Amino acid sequence: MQQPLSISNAVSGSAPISEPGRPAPGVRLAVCLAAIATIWLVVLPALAQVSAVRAMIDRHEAHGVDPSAKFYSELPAMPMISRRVDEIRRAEPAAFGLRKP
Amino acid sequence: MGGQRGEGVTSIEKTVSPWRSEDVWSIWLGWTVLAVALGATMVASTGAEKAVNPLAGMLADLGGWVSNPFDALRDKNGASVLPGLVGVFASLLVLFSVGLAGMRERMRGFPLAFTALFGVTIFAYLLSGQKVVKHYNLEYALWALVVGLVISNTVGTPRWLRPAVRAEFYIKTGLVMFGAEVLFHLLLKLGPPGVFIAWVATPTTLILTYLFGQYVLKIESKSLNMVISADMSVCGVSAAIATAAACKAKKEELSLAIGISLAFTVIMMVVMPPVIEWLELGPVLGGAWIGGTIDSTGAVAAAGDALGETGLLVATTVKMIQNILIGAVAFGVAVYWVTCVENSSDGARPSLMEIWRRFPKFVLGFIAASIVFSLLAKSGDSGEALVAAATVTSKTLRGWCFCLAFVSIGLETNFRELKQYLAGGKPLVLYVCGQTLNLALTLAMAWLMFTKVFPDAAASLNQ
Repeated sequence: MQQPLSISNAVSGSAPISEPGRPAPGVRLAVCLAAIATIWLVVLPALAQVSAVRAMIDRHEAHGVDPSAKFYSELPAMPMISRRVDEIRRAEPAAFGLRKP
Repeated sequence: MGGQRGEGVTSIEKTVSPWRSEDVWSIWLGWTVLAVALGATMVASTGAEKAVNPLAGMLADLGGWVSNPFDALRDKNGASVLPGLVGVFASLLVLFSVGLAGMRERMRGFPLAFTALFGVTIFAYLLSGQKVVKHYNLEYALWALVVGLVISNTVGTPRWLRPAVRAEFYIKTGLVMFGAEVLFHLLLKLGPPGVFIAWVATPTTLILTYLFGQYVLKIESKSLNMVISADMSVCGVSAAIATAAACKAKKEELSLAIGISLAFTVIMMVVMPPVIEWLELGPVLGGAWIGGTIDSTGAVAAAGDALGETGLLVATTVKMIQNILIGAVAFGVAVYWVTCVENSSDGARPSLMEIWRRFPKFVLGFIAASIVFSLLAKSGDSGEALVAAATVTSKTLRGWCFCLAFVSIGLETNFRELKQYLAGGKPLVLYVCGQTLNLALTLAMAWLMFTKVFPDAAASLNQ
């Protein structure tokens, strides 16, 4: 049987890491936050202006597509798609190997 | 489980009363949310033309944004989401405080710690709401992990924050609520073609990938092997969460599986539509191929949409049928784990009592929610609308529960601990080999169904 990670390991793993020759923990956090701010406030907004990217976003939004959905219930287009599939199946149930209702 | 946090995604039990365990309390909490949402929806919908959930407006997610993060504080209609965020915070604080009290755990420090953790979670949600990030399927699970990792690997997780770092509790509670969205009647949405593509190819891929990991790659951790096999073959992050909880995987294993899955999902989302056009598979066969292979549901929709309206329709419907498999997989994995993997030290099979003692009980709460809401959805003409309205509440809350869980996992993880799991690149090899099998098997099954066995179904969908 596998040994799950013990709480003591997990907690010690989250302690501030101060090592000789490395920047102080606070400096490392500041560097990470600066990188996040640069990417999210400068790089990604610039990418969003690229015509191909903008067209993709507009198309997804117009069609009710949310690429970050983790389950069918999170897709805005799903109720509409579900109704359309029901219509197609009801029109020709035999085509889908189903009996007429 | 009660009082033994910090081990696996779910962990091995201590000798506490089962009624005070984290599993049982996650069921109580999840079912409380479902019962309150369903009751409120039923009362408000009596005599109304359509189902109305009066609680829906009280809870909210952050909106999307492009260059100004403050745009995320408004929804699509321009209304402020702040009251909804306060509603989510208050609901979850009360729920988890009651849970901790019920488990007789220390409450001291929890409200302050939870408030700070919720703030970090909002930051992770904000990062995932940037539209370029969102439309390339880089979802909140990834950013929640990243934010947690940045804190824990720079300044360290402050001691006062630790009372709220409860990844397992948030995941289990979120999963019980999630059960209400796993509706079994959707299995027959496309009739036998959909069942064969999603429910034959997918479990076959899962089982063969797991066996490949065990006997060919000889991956040391069975739970890592299982979580990667399940997220690759079923539905990405949501399947990884459910399976990791069912097989008591370690937090680092869940993080790694999700990272690999998201990376390959982005690649497949971009690459598959042009490949399908080049192979001239058409939107029905191509859509079914996409729906059965790309991990994440949202990425399936994006790739299917690139094939046109029919491609979107077929891809998302096949994925929806596959999504329902998550309940059966979670239950099957939990049973397999307690009966076959967790043998006693002398190698003997455990007794029925022992199996019951080890079984992750919250899985039963998840399955029960799925069965009850499936039956409700099929009851009467308005059943489906009632369930759709009622689950708006649980859907919002379980999303926040999962995000809180991933921030918590990041806060408890050291980069060095993650590195050891990548040793030899075996998890990557497992994913690539499994996905290759998935691509071949799903294409073969979709081709068989839509060109040989049910060609009229393809013609109907194409109209």
